Amino acid sequence: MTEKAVRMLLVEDDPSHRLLIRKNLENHGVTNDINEVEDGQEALDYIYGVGEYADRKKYPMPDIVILDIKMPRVDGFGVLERLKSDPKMKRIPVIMLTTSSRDEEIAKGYEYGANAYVTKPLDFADFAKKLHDLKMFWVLTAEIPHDAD
Amino acid sequence: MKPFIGNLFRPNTLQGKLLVSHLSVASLGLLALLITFFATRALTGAVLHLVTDSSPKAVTAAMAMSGVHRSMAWLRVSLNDEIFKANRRKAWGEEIWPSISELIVLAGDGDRSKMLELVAILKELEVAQWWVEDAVASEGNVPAHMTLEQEIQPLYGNMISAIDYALADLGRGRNASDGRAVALAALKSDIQVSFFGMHDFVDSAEEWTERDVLVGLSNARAAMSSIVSKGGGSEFSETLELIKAEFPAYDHLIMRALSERKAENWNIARWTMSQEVIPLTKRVTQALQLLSVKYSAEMEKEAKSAASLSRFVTALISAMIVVMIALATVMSRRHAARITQPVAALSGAAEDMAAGRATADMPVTSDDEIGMLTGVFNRMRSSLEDKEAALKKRADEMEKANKEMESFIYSVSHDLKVPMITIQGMAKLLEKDLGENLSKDSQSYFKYIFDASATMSDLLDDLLEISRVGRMDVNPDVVDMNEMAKKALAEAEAFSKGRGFTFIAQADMPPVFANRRRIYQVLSNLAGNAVKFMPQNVAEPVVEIGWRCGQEGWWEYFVRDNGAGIDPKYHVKIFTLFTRLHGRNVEGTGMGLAFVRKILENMGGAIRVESEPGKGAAFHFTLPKIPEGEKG
Repeated sequence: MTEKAVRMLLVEDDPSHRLLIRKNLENHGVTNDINEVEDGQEALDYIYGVGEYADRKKYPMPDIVILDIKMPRVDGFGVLERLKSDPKMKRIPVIMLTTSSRDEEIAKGYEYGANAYVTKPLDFADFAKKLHDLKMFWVLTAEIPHDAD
Repeated sequence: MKPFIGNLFRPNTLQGKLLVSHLSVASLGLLALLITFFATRALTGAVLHLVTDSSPKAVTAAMAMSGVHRSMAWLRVSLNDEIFKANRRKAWGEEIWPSISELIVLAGDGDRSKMLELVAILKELEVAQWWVEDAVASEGNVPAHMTLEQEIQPLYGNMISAIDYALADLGRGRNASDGRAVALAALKSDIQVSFFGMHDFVDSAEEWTERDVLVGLSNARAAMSSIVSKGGGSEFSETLELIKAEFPAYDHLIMRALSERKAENWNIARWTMSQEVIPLTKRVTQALQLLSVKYSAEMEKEAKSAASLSRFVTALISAMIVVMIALATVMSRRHAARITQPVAALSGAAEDMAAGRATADMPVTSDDEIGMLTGVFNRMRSSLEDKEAALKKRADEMEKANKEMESFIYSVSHDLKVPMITIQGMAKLLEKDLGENLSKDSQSYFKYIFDASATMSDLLDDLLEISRVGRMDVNPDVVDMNEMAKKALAEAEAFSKGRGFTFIAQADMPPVFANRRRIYQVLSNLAGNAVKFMPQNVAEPVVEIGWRCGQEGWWEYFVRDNGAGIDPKYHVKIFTLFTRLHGRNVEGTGMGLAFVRKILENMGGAIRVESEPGKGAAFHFTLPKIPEGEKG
């Protein structure tokens, strides 16, 4: 299978959470490009190549979006709605981040067209499983998913 | 006194109004009574007049008339009877004259002249009747008879005796076949014929008797003249002289008697009767008749007017009764309306208020107690409205505060979770980074950090859940309890850590109508508790989910275990937030039962526990049946 550098876009306002997720993924050998933005508006600007994100070399189009919900300016649902209603963009898989598996926002997310969700802190096994379910294990390049502790 | 009257008729009280109304109806009745009274008086007067005047007049006139008839009845021209006479006089004395004097009194001035005339005639009649009676009683009633008896008879006697004497004389001389004797005998016989014939004629006045008389007389005359012409001896010269002297008188008298008998007034009584008494009687009866008719007419007129007055009075009274009843009905209707309408309206408004429907101020339509009541009711209504509004405002405020609280809890727990995640994540990263360099103690420290943050995370999750019960519970659905029970028991088994639990779900449990997630949360919480709190010393632990027949609209489900049981003194407390009966060695945030209770109460159900220490516990709770129209 052709190796391809899979680009991720991580949309999360809390810097510590961003760090945790990145670290988690790296620790499990996910070596994709992970681009980070701080809120929904930035995410949309990135995806649509607006402003500083016009430079596609620096800011490549993501193959997958990991999307938090509670964010300033534009929140997760705002981004979801925008992306999934755009015929060009709706194909991009979006994985939601939620604070609790009991969160009813999950249902809302699915309504808006989210592809999957994972809880924070990112349980890698869960993450991997979700990707597997989406037949997206190509996201995880060449590594068998490690179990989370 | 005046204030008392004023008090009685106060127009702004029901009593006053009713009094006025009743008095007006009563006054109408009084008017009817007055009319009746005066009408009765008029009627009485008419009747009295009838009884004392026109009726007596007619009656008296009739009585006088009957008296006159009676007097006539007792008057006989052919009878001279003392009893009759007495009765006739009685008729005059006891019937006629008293009636007439009464009639004079009754007739008054109007008919006075008529009455005087009548009296005059009556007097004449009385006299005439007396004359008749008198005539009948007297011998001279039949002049012919009197003449015959008193004048002719002696003459006849004398003449017949003389002739007999003479004949006797002649007989003695024995010179029979004396022509004188024959002539005398013949004369006697003729005189006798005339005399007896006269008697007959006086009696019967028949033609042939008169002829006898005339024949007898004429023969006697002839005999007389023959005897006279022959002369006589001395033997009957006396007789002859006598006869010569008396016969002419006899003749004359006979003739007179004849004419007396043939005269119209041959019977004085009868003559007077027909000439005077009868006409007078006629006049009297005519006059009395006229009076009688007049008085009868008067009487009839008065009787008629009395009758019509009586009828009028009856009609008037009947009309007044009808009017009174109608008036009373109308007035009582009006009053009833004035009272019942406002009262009915008020009670209708009160019912509306009781039922929670909107009401408006009632109009005050009168200035009496009803009006007062209406005013008071309106004040009460607006006061209640204000109170209700205030209450509603409070309730709204409380609801708002509640929502704000829930929202606050929600955001707080949400916001707290974020740093929680950081702590948990960073601790993990740290552990990983430090790796083998960690001492055993440090490792355990990390463990504490992980456990504590996990606990905190769970607490926050529970708090989040509790704060949202009721807020996002939409779309109740038909929930298959058999499937739910299985799922919940399966999850609970995950806590069982390999112990040989027996999980029982009753068969054919009835479906309920609620939010699926909440039902699942209830069952899994209770089953999870049963597993978590099962003591180690129970050899064969059992957790059972089952149901019982419920009440109107509710099923009763239960989750039962054969664990340690719960002391009754905690049966209420365990459902309160953050209460834990176990130490830290058992998982759980202490929110489970409170959470379950909130979910059930939000559905309108309830939960209770039946348990004793050492005898396990059974948590009974009610779930809604499927309402009509939702089945399937």
